Amino acid sequence: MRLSRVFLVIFMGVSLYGLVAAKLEAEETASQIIAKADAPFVSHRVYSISKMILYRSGRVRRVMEIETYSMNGGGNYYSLVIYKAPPRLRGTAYLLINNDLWVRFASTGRVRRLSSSARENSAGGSDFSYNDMGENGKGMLLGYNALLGNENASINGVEAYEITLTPKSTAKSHYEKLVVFVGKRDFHYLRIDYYKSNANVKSLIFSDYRKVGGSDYPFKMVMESHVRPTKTEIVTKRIELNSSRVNRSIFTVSYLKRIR
Amino acid sequence: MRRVKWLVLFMVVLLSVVPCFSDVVVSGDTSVSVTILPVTDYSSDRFDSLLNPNNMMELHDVSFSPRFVGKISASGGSPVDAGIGEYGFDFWFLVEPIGIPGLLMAITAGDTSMSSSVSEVLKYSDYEFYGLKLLRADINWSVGDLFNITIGRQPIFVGYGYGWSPMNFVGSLKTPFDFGRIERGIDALTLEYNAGNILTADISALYRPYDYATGIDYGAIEGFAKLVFSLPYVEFSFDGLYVYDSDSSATTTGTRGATQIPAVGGGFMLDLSGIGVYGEVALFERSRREYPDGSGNLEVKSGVQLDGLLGLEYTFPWDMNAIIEYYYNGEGYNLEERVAYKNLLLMYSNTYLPADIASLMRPGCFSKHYLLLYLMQPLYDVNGEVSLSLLFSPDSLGLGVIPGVSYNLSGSVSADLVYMGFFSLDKSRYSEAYFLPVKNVIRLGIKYSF
Repeated sequence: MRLSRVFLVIFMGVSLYGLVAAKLEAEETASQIIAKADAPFVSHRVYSISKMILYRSGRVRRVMEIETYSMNGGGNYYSLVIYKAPPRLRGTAYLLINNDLWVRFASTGRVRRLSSSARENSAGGSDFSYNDMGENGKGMLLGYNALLGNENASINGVEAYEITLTPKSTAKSHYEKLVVFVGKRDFHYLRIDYYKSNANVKSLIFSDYRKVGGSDYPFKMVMESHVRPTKTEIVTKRIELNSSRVNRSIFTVSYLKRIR
Repeated sequence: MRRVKWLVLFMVVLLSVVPCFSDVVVSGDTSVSVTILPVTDYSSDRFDSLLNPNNMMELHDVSFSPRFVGKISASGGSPVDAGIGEYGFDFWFLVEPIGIPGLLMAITAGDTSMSSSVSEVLKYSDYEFYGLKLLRADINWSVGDLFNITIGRQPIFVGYGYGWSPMNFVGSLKTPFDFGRIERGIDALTLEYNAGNILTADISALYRPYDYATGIDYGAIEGFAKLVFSLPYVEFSFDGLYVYDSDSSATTTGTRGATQIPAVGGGFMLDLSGIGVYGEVALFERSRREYPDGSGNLEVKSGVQLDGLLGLEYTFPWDMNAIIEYYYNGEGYNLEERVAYKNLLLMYSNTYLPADIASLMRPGCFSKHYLLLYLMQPLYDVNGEVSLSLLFSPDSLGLGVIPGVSYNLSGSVSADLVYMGFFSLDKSRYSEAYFLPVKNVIRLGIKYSF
């Protein structure tokens, strides 16, 4: 009787360890997959020119051109977005350093710091928030815990890992969770589903991967809202990874003032 | 007209050096607006008031106002090139109609952006005049990562307030009725020291003469300094204005204009769980404005004057932007002074009202206390936005209600419709609504950006 109890305790302990170990392994594997998928986005210095096309009910509502500089360095994430078109927005610029956001108003040239609630704001009326635009550049693992779900998922016939990302700090996250699909063969992001209040509110779809500086980069990203009939397409026209144009000195309020 | 020729010559020289710059941007906008002043009592003296005797402001039921803003900017070098650094220039100008009464009022209002200094009056006909205002004409050079030198007419931005900015004592007075107004720059030489984003320090020599036509006025050179400390979630700013020959015992604002008074200011912005909390305070050696003394004379107030602002801003999840501001206008008029002002205007009811007296009444900056609520909701689905401003003065019981709607027809063309209503909730408190010759204004504008 006493021996059977000892066996029971050992059995339960081993089972529990097995479960925990399996979970830890799954987390580790998920983190590794995400790290691989993040690689082209967390390049140290990225410069790009993109076209942002806003659709409503399938019709083009607005087309914008943006120039983006971003980098990681010294434990900080820096991003500078400058609107080049249309004329009404030309010269408007946003500087994001970690959680701090500054805006340059094109009409007056004034630069002002904004409250962090503005980061959740729609970027130029698109389906992306300023946070969404910065999140990829920081790398998902910085703010999220990864857990491998379905290892045999499929997105448009491409075999994929399904990984659930839950925020490390719910206070700092705009989303309840993200469900990401990463291609098994190339570790490409294929789709990210964004969840709020247990509902998938929008999805980001990646396509047109091309080789840039030794990495595969998606030249087309489409954010599709599931709560309104809108979607936003970002088509990269030009991108430089580890670009010499990107330097710490441009991520300053002083430089923001000098933007023309 | 002689100065116009110099201005044209300057533009030609500037444009001739444009090819030296690798990146040249020409932009701007042209707009036309229709202003309607509806009145309930359609009499011949419908626009007459204490502030506008015999309609000296030449107000009309309907008026059209074209406006053109041109911006030429160029840059060369590179911010990442430590050898040469980055250099560039900005040249912005504005052309808009300007009535003679408006010009006179602007000059005496201490609004240097409108004063004769560089606002050239272009005669279109015997009855129509256009003002050519040079907004920016500056050259700047970045020396490495640390220093930036700017010379010429340049903007000097300080503070955090949208409707008012007590710290902004060198620029034009802000107005709670138009957050996006382009301010004319200030002629200055500025050296900026930039230690990343943690600390920026500016030292400027400003040149703000009352009248450029009388030659160089060395006494109009002032010293201005600004410090900004920026940390995660919080920012602090300080500024100060030094005037070499200021006269603390002066009893009038004098010919130098009302703004050239030694002052110090401080401000902060704090991010509290997404809510932006900001404040500003400024201390002036004496008042910048004059006060009626009850016997028809105007005097400045000696002794330190204090202006302050406290504001909140927040962006809701549905993208609505909300701003709440409280403004303590230490230099505003109390009830006794507003009554004295009314009595002063009565003295001129049958004669010509001097512009310097008329301009003492500045809407949104007349009483001691103001509250502003601003709400703006983007309407992405229809490419537009709606906004509402409520301006209330608790001491004079004046209320301003300003709803607006704008629509972007394309990336270049936009239209907006704004109503401005001014109400005096208690006429015995003499708010600005009591004095304004029009209580209702409707403005429809269309703008083309290029």
